Amino acid sequence: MNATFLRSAADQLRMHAKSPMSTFMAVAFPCAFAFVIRSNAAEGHRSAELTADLSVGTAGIGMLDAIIVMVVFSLLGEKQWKTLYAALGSPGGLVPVVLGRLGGIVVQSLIALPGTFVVLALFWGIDSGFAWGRWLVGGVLLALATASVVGLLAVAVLRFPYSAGMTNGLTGLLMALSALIVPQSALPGPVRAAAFVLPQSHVMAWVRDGALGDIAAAVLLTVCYAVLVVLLVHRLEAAVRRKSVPLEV
Amino acid sequence: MTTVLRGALLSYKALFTWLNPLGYLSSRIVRPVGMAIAFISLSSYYGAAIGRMLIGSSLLAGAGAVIYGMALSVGNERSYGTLGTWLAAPQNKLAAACQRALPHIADGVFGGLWTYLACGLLYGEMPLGVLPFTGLLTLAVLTTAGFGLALSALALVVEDLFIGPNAAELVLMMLTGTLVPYDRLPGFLQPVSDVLPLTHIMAAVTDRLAGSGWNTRQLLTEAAVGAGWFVVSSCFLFWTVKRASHRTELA
Repeated sequence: MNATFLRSAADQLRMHAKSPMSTFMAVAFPCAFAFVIRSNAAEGHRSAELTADLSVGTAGIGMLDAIIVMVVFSLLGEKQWKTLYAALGSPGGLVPVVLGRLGGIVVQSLIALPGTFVVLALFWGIDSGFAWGRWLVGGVLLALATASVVGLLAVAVLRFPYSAGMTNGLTGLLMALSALIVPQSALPGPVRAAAFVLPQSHVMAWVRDGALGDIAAAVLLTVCYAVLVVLLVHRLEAAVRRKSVPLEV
Repeated sequence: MTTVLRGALLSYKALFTWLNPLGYLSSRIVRPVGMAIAFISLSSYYGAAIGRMLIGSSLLAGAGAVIYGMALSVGNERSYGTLGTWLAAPQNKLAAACQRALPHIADGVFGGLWTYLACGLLYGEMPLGVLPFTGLLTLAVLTTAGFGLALSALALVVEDLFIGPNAAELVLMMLTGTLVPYDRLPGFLQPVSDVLPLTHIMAAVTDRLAGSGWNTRQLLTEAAVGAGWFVVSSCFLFWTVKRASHRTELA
């Protein structure tokens, strides 16, 4: 189990860590968003310099994009290379492969945290009250939380035939629900309620001077989503074995 | 005319996997609304009026459908392994690219209007009536189609299908006054903004929301920008078709 998990994570980094598209999504794309955020923030009473919540929220957009793109690329790769039936026949089944891939993707997505920070700090300077601890802990937690939620997409990609464009909506949807660029309270009512069940919104609440309860909720929800992903992969394994659901293309 | 429409619909049908409509729903229905919610919330959180951002996000939704659609309708020829055959065919490539743009223009109007209505209902505010907004949106997707033609041409020379439309979408988001007010752009970027589609529509919208009438000069300038892009993009397309036709490796 552990060896397969580690191998899968290492494979993820070996194959995709230097992908130009991944770097573009993780760094360039969110920096453009940060430009939009800051231009609008300038109309309010916000600091003109880089704050921890802006930095983590911006990195979160990059993480979200990179994780979605990488989950799709990696698992479609496994399908095309016909490695999934071999994994299914191994003692650990598909779970360590999927979790290993997600683990590698989390590590890979972390580039968004320092990557966007350096770019934005160079442009705007760093606010004197920059909360370094919240930036670091919040950033890492945000990557884990995003990967646990997008893990559900991994199950969908494994279970169903891939349809071009089927994941495009996730970025917009999760960006709104994750409260990455504004606090949850600024979202319209129905969206705010939906945001409550996503761990990312609680991570962001903590980064924005929230209490320990926010971080506890974020960790709890992250674990819940990770457990749900494992259960769904087990269910998929059962469906493949009993009903001959095709895994590979 | 029937042949033109049939060809346009055939190209459009090839873009999404219609037996599984998730691709269309995800790209053209969910994504623009999600992005618009994020940006409108941003505007409202910082105390700005949400009307401008609602209109800007909805126009971007329409423009996005056009730029991705036009880039992919040509770029997918490479993915499907049919680029060589298409280039060898006697069909006029400029006419073909325009023909393929037609469904995306219609889809852009639909997507932009859907985004405007959905977000308008969600936030309980609709700064422009549906008819004037549809008129603006139609102008926006038409001028963006002139710009999108350059992306169709680019898809013939850049093998990574998504680099062109992704970069173009970022440019439209940042530099056209849709999400970032024109007067907040750095001075050296304002001339770039002036020659991009959507900029002059947003200028007209800003005037209108400030209580003035419709600034027809800005709207005519927008149409001229679209026409200018069409001419430049057509020349670019002729060059890229010529270049691609002389290459032996297309895949």
